[in-house]
Amino acid sequence: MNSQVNLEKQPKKAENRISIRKIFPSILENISVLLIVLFLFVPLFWIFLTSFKPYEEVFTTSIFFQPTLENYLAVFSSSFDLGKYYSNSTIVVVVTLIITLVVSVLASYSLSRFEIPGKQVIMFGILATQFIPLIINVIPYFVMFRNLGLLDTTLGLIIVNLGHTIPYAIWLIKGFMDRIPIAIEEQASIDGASRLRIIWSILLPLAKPGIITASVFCFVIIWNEFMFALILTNREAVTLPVALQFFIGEEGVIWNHMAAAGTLFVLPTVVFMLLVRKQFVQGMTSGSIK
Amino acid sequence: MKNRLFKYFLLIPAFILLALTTFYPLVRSFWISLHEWDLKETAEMGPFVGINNYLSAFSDYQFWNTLKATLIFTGSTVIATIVLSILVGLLLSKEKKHLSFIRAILIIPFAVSPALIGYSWRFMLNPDYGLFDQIIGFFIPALSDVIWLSHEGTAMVALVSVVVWIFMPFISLMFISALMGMPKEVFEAAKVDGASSFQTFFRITLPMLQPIILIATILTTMFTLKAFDPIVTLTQGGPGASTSVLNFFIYKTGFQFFNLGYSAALGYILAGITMVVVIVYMRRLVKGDQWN
Repeated sequence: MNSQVNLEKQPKKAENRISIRKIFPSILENISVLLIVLFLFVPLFWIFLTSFKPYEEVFTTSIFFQPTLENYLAVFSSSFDLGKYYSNSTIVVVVTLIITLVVSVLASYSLSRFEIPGKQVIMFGILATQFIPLIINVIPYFVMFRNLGLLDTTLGLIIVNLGHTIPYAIWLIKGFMDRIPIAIEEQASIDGASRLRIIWSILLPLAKPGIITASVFCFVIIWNEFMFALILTNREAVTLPVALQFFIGEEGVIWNHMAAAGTLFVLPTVVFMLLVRKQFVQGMTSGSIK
Repeated sequence: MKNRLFKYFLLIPAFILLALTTFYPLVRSFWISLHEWDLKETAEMGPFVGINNYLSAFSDYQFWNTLKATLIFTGSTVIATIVLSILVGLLLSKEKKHLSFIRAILIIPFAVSPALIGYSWRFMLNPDYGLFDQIIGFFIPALSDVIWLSHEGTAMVALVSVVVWIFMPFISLMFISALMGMPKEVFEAAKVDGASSFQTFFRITLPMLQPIILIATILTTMFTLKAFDPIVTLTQGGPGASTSVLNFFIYKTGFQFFNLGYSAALGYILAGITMVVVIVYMRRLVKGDQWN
């Protein structure tokens, strides 16, 4: 009787041991994954939550409160005027992006398809401009813009942002175009299509993933651009990231208002990024590893 | 003939824009760096002083302090980002449903404004009502009285954490895509041969990741040396000058004290440092390629 019980027990014990050995690392793994997710997303969640808090609740860590939309109404009121900064940011992004894409697609096509003397040097030179700290460029810009009356204008911001986005766009789009077989175009040119026509109706659709990747990347860069806007604007042309400092008053920071403005501020980039996430991650990683 | 001109014609718009928006300011900035120019006193550029602005950096104790802060900040940020990103890569690169969801949202922090993140960490580290301050105090009671942003060491720790927060998701995605692209047979073979998971990691995974680690290190170093937004919004370079890294010091010299000549010279010193670092890494990368 006894021996029978033992016989039954022993295999079970062994099984237990194996499963503990298996389960323990997997628990550890899951805890680590949880910690990473908390580290990355608690700050974002907290901004979001704070944006619905009434003022009295801001200075507590409670997550149970009567949510209110007052903060959102407050930031659009005349005392803060989020609408103005939102439209400044939108103008800067849209204009910069359109110019960037047009000139970068043309340049990438040329660099990808033709033999150009010193191509390697050109490509490296374009990239090297981004190694250099951009604060160097801001010093002469500040002086030039002051003389030209471009300080505190969206046009000024568009000009400086172009120097920042075109290099990235050329690198990303050229990388994609290099992978499109040239035979497709040759066929079209035998059929008598003009060069610009080939770029427009054959190459552009094929290079779409690259162009989308470049657009989203540049969009995020311009939308979040802080240093140029901090130095080159002060009232009229202020964009969203710089406008956040207006919530810092003499009596401290109005965190619930800043959180509401911040939530509306990050919404477009996060949404766009999620929409094209797959292409973006593929484009960025294959581009940088290649 | 037409073709020959056409290819240059396509390059011209981008080239003109880059020349005007990047190359010209770079040259002009270098020219400014060779002159004395205090914008508070004169609207026009002052006398030519040659390399004096560069020389005065080396006798400026603030510059040396700044350089020390830059070294600590960049070193710890790069090491923490790379180590954490490899770890995140290993944890998230398995084929599981909930992990694939986390991989999908991992890109979100990359899209969020670093300036806003600086502010929100300042909010969360507030000693009276900050969420992180209270969480840290709860789990590690010894740290509950620390006022994070008002001591030199802890302010640097906070700043590094914020910058790691900003870069880590993107760098992790690089490692994830590298790890998921690795041939499975190698790992199965290692398992059959009885290799422990530590052995597999150090003997197989890490060597195979080496080129990505180098590229990620180059990128992170460049981003960190250029970091600006979180410093302005989180610490303002303080307390004292403890988190005043070179990029921020250039901004202060140029646009709070309006010493443009000196500021431009400091800018070129930072550019020089960045170039040296990138070239050193690049040479290792090229060398590694030849070995393979």
